[in-house]
Parts: sequence; C-alpha cells; structure tokens
Amino acid sequence: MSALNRLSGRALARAVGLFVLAVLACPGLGVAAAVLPDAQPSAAPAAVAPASAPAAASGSAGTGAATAPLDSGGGRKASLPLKVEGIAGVSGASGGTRPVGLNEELYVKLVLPAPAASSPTLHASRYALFFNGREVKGLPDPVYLPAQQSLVYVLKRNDTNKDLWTSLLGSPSLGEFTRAVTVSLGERPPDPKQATLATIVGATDGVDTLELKELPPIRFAIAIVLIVSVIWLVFARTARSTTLRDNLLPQIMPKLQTYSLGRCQMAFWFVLILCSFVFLYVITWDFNTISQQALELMGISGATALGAVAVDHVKDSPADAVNRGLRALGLNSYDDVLRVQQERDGRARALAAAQEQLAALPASIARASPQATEKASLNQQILKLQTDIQDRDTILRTYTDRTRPYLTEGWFRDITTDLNGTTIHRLQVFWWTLILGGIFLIGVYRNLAMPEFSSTLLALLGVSGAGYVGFKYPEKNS
Amino acid sequence: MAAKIDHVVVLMLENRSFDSMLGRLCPGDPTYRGLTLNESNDYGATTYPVWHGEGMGTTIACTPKPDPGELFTDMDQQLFGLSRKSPTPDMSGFAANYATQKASSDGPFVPGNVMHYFTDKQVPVISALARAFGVCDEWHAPAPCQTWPNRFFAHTGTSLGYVDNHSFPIPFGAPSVFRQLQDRNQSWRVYFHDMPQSGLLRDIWLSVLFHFKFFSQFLADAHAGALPSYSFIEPRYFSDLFLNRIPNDEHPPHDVGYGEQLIAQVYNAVRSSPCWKSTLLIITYDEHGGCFDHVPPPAAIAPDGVINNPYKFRFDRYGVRVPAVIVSPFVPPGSRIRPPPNARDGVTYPFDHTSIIATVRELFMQGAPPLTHRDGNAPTLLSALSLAVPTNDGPLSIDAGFSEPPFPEVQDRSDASPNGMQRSLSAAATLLPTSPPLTEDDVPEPVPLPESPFLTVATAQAAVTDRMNLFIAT
Repeated sequence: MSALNRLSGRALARAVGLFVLAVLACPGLGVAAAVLPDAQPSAAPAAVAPASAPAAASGSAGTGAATAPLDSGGGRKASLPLKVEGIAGVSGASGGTRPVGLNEELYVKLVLPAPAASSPTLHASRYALFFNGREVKGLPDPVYLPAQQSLVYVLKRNDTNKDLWTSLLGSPSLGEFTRAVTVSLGERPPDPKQATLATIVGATDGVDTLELKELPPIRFAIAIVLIVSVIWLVFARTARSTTLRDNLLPQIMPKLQTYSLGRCQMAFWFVLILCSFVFLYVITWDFNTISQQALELMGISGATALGAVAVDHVKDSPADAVNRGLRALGLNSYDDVLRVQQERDGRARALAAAQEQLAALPASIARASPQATEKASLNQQILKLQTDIQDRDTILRTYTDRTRPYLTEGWFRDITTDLNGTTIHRLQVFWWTLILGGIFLIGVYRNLAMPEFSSTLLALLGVSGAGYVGFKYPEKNS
Repeated sequence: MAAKIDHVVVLMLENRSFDSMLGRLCPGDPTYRGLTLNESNDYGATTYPVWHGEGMGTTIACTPKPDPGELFTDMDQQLFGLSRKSPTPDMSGFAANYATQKASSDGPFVPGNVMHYFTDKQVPVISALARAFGVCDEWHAPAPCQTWPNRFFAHTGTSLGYVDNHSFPIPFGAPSVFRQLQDRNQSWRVYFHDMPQSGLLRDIWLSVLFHFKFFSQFLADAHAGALPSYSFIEPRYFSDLFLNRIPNDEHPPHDVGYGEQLIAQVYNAVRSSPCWKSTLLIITYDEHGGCFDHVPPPAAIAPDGVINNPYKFRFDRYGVRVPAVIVSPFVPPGSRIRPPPNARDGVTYPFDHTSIIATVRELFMQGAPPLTHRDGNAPTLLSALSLAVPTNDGPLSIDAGFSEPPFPEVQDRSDASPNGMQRSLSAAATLLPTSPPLTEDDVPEPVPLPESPFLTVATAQAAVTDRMNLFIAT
C-alpha cells in the first residue's frame, strides 16, 4: 500500500493544501511538489494470515494442507499436495555459503516427504519466510523449483516489513558486514479467515543459519554522493540569488540581501525530505517512503513562508519607505545603482582629463584668443562635471546609508534578528526547526524510514511558525 | 522681581500671517487686533473677502495652494497693490498678486485662497497656547521679503541688505546671537529636522559639531532637564520618503496639521521638563508667506544701512504680522502682549524677530553690544513675564492627535517641485563643507548661491540630508 494511500482523506487534504500554499508562495520549490504525487506501484501483498509469533520450534510440521493447490512457480496443477517437513539448507542464487542481501534471491532447500520426489507440486505461496523467528511479511510469493526442491524468495524491503529489516540490518554504513540470522518457514492456513497461526517449519540443525548481508556500502556511498549533490545544487542555486532571501529592496545586490527565516525554514524541510527520500530510495530501493508527517512538515513550513511573504507585501514598512525614497532618486533596481556608479566613474575620468588639459594651457593667455576660449570652455566643463559627480555621490551615499540596515549580516544573524536585534519569536522557530530536523535525520538513518512525529510536535512547529508570522507584523513597523 | 528665566526656546515655523492663523482667536474683542470679517481684497471686478473653510480636510489644511508669491516684488504688490497708489501700505494686493503668479503644478491660483483664515478649532494647538499664555498681535516679520532675510534677522539682526533667498552669498557672514552667547560661555543649540537654515551662519561653522542636533535630541534634553540657555528649533522643510515624513513647517501648501503636531510636541516637552518653571517658549513664524493680513507694517529702524538689492530697499519697514505665542509660567493666562515704548526714544516699536535677540541678550548677556540698530532698539519680551512667581502652569499637555502622514501625501509632496525655501536650502547644501570645519582655515569665504539643480523635493531632500550628515558628521 503506498504512503499516499495510507493517508486518511482529511490528513491528506490538509497536507496537500498546506503544500500547495507553500508551492504558490515559493515557485522555486515546485520540484518538490512534482516528486510527491507520483503514483506508487503497489507493494507486495501482505501475508495472507498473520504469523506474528513462531508457534513451534524447528522441526514441527506444518498443518492444514491445501486441497486444490496451485503451484505459484510453474502454474501447473498439483496432483498431490505436498508438505514441507523441514529445511535442508539455505543459500543465495549463486549457491554455496555466500551471504544474501536485500533484493537478492534466497533459496530455501526443502525437506520433503518421499512422494514429493516424483511430484514437484507444492503450494509455495503458503510458506512464509521467517528470520530469527519473525515472519518477513510482504514478500512476493516464493517460487518453487522442483528440480532443486527449493523455494526461492526475493528479499524485498517494503512498508510492511521495513521494521523487521531495520532490526535485522541496522543503519547503513560504508563497511561490509554480515549478520547471521536463523531461517525457518511457516505454513499458512489454507483459509485466510481461519484464525490459525502459521506454524514454523524447522530446519535440520546447522543448516538454517543464513549470513545476511547488511545494507550495501556502495549504495550508502551513492546515497551520500547524491545527497551532497542535491544540497550543493540547492545552495549553489540560492547563494547568489534571492531564493532564500527577503528581497525587500530590489536595489540591493542579490547576494547582499538578508536571509529570510520563512524561506530558509521552507527550504530546510524541502531539502531534508528530498535528501531523505533519495537516501531511502538508494539504500532500500523503496520509493514509498514519504510519510504523512513529512508532508505536514512541508505544509507547515510552506505556510510559514507564505505568511511571512504576505506580511511583507501587505504592510507598509520602513523598507517600503526606503524603496520609495530610492525610486524617487531613480534607483529602481541594482542595475540602476551600477549605472549611477558607472556614470560617476566616467565623469571622474572626464574631469581628470579636463583638468589635465587645463593645466597644459599656458599660465598667461591673451583675452579673446582661441586659448582663452578653450580655457573658459574647460572651466565650464569642469564645473559641470564636478556638479554631476557631486549629484551622483549624493545618490550613492544616500543609497549606501539607507540600505545599510537591510544588508545581510550573515545567515544566522539575518534569520534570528530584525532591525531591533535578536527576537524570541525568530529564535523559537529556528531552534524548534533545528531540533525537529535533527530528530528527522536521525530517524531516517536509524530506522530507514521517515519518522512519524506526534501531532503535538507538529503543532509545536505550527505554533512557532504562526507566532513568527504574527510577530513579524509589528516587527515590520518598528 | 524679574522673572527667573534660564532657558529660552524658540520654535520658528514658516510662512503664515497673523490673521490667517490667529485672526479669529478673539472674535468681537475690540482690543484684539484680529479679523472683523469685513476685510477683503479686490482683483479685477471681484471682491475677495476673508473666509474660512469648513472642517479640516487636506484641502483646507493646505490652503493656500499653490504657494503664494513671497519674493520682495510679490510682497511689495501685496502691501501696496498691483499699482502703488500710496507710499503707505494698504494691504490691498494679496488676491491680485496671487492671481497673477506664474502657473504651478499645484493647481490654479484662485485669488480668494490667500484670504483664507483658520478658526481656533482648526488650529487648536496654537490657539490653546495663545489663550493659556500670551499672544502678540503686534509681532511683525523683520522685513517684507522672503524667508532667508527674515530668518537671518532672527539670528543676526540683519540680512546684510539681501531681500530674496537666491541672492545671498553662502555662508552668511553677519555676526550672530549664537556666537555672542558662545563667546560669553552661554550654552545654545539649534535643533533641526532635515536642514537648519541657521546652519548657513558663517560665524558658527566651527561649532556645528557640538551645537547642531536633531530634534529628537531636543526632546531628550528637555526630558533630562538639560536644555541650553538658548534653543532654536527648526521644523522639517522637506518631505522624506525614507522616513515617511512630511514637512511640519506649515509653509503653504504644507498641511498646517503637522505644524500643530510639532508645536504640541515642543510644548509638551517643555511643559514636562524639569526646566519648565524657568523656560520661556516663543512660537512664531518667519514671515507671512503671501497669506493675507490686514495690519499694514509700520516703518522700522534700518539695521545697518547696507543695501544689497536692486530695489534699494533699506529695510526701513517691517514685514507683515506673523503669529507669535509666548509661553511661560510667568505669563498670565490670556495675555495680549504688547511692546513697551523704547526707553531711549520713547517710540513704541512692534515686536519682530530681533526681539528674540534683544530678549536673549537681556537675559543672558547683559551689557553685550547689540548686533545691529534693529535688535538694539527692539522691545524685549520681558514685560510679558509679569507674574511674580511662575504660577501659570497651563495645560499639562496638549494632544495634537499625532498621526503618520498617509503615504500618497508624502509621495505627492516628494514628487512636487521644490518651493522657494526648499530650492534655496538644497542649493546651499551643495556649498556645505563635506566635513565639520575644525579651524578658521576650513571655513570658506562666501560664494554666490548656485541654481538649485533639483527638480523634485525628493532629490532635493536627499541632497540636503546627505550634505548635512557630512557637515555635522552624523
């Protein structure tokens, strides 16, 4: 069952609603929106009947043989039902004692009663795989290979069995390790409605132990490379743009704009969830990993960013006044600032040249001579240039003075302070985001699944965000 | 016993006549030289009586709009009419002069606009203070000319013969009352909003670093009881898009409501200051700015005989009356403050801005020589301080209903062409040194005021702020 399908209709509507708002507020994050709604293929069906507890030790025979069994491997009708009496051994596809890992095939050689040798028929789907006495639910139905008298299981990790795999394999690492697990089979009752538990079909001593490969280090390495790439792509894109910045004054160079807490928080959750998704997919080959809480986290951060942007746009603020003042001086954008600077520099060069020409003229010049005319013209030119330079200096100094409070002072100071200094509502959002982000990351790494936050924790983040937006209103007018 | 005054605070606003602001403060009182409502001007075949608008919307608060003429030639017409019929002014040419102004981007010159006056309800702050303390109905601008000559008179007792702003060489070289105080170890400060016109006085350029402070410092000084002996407050002359501020100088067509707010701010600061009991607050305007007043300006004592104008005007006539309200706990409530006869010649000269100099000299520099003949003969305000003990505490505070100016109004004023005062100040700003002068060598010789290169108030304001910041090293 996909993650989206698992969401209740109400929660889904809430999360998607918040997220749509977030996407509207920040079109740059539309990529995230495109990832989430992808149709997820159905995972392997869960076991027909629960077998949560090993009912018997190895060696106890299964019960309840099927009356009209189908061989799930060959699809041929079985002439006689077979009963597995035990496990003769386990191995990987390549045979021998090489370890088996996730997404690989596990061959379980069966101990069958004598008639079985002449009849390959076996109701394979009724035999559930157990590791360390716990059923591996949700695996694809095994295939029975009569020639080898083996059941072949593909070790797939999915939403149903992820907890078991996590407990078996632990967190990924760059080292190559194996873990020994005991293997056994359970026979499900023929009628799923029967409450009978599957029973364990034990193996002979010494051959039921499998060396299970821990998560492949190469995948972990690839995941790390991909995550670093994602982070680099996001931050390389945003470092010199206004994606994560307030852009209150378009006259300021983009890389000098102040960072926006709302946008940074939204980007934080976007990157965190995207990286977690990439990580989990690469490690487990499972793309049904986006949890409801992940969606809600993105919704909350998106709503916070949207609220902040709305406050910025609705309320007349000191920054708006500065913007108007600069516009009145002809500075509508940073390009205009560069233009005025270039004009000033050009006139300064022209002034230097004119002054040189003036200095080159003889000290005493006869009246009404061409040189006297030239001197007068140069003096006039110099005066004009000096006035022009002074005008542009005034504009540039005014620009510098007025925009100074709105220049970045570094990421941390920007997002935790306003014009009056550090504010508690900003600190609150910052620290709770960081803490929940940390919990999220640790959860993804340790459990190989996006954590399920309690509604209280999510409400905490929502309240922080709402507080931030609420306090931003008077903050803008201070 | 003479009143013990340790602090004199002067707030000088812009360009409103006495009649336009306080003409109807005491209707029906024959001893008050206000409007009887029979006053009028003719232009063409039409008579334009004095009038007042209803309510206090922006249109009324900004009347007259556009800005009336205020050059020497304009005032000559306002006082004597378009064609001078008499050697004495009859105040008949306000409407006509207004109607014949050059076209303005602020709209048409409707002659009756300059005949407008505000009721006491429309200007409640200055009216309340005039009633609670004292009002001078015989206070004239020092000369019938533009802002700068009159403001320089307030500081130096002369304009060195110049009549229009643009004709002054900058810095202005006449000795000032500030320098006199400083030379006698008396404290003084100029508090300003954007650019102090008094910053053009050459003899205090070496003091700008320590004596020129923003208005916010005045509020702090008053609160701390640290007011200097003499404080001169200049209003905001330019709209400021960066701070979303609008001029509070009341210069037409600026909204008088913001000037009212400034008056209230100053009064409240002084009233709540530990210095209150020993403070004399003078609220006045530099000149009438083309707004109608019915009292002809009398002859005046020429300050220094210097003439630097093409009209050969000797400054032997006062300008039009301007509002003047005297606030002190030594002033009895409801006072009509009239000048006493001159002790030397027995003539009663009206108050003018040089009365401020005379009063400051009397209070803090007894024995100091006058700056010019004008301030030497000006009546002081000490006679207004007639209470033996400072018992008139007036209102505890005045609420002017302070409000942020709406953005469109600020934008509108910022996009407008600069008025005469703004043009002159911004042109003068380009002559200011780019750092505070520290030695006499750093103080340049006066040079002619250049043409203002600024086409809008916004660009002029940016230049003024920039150059002032450099000049006073903020």
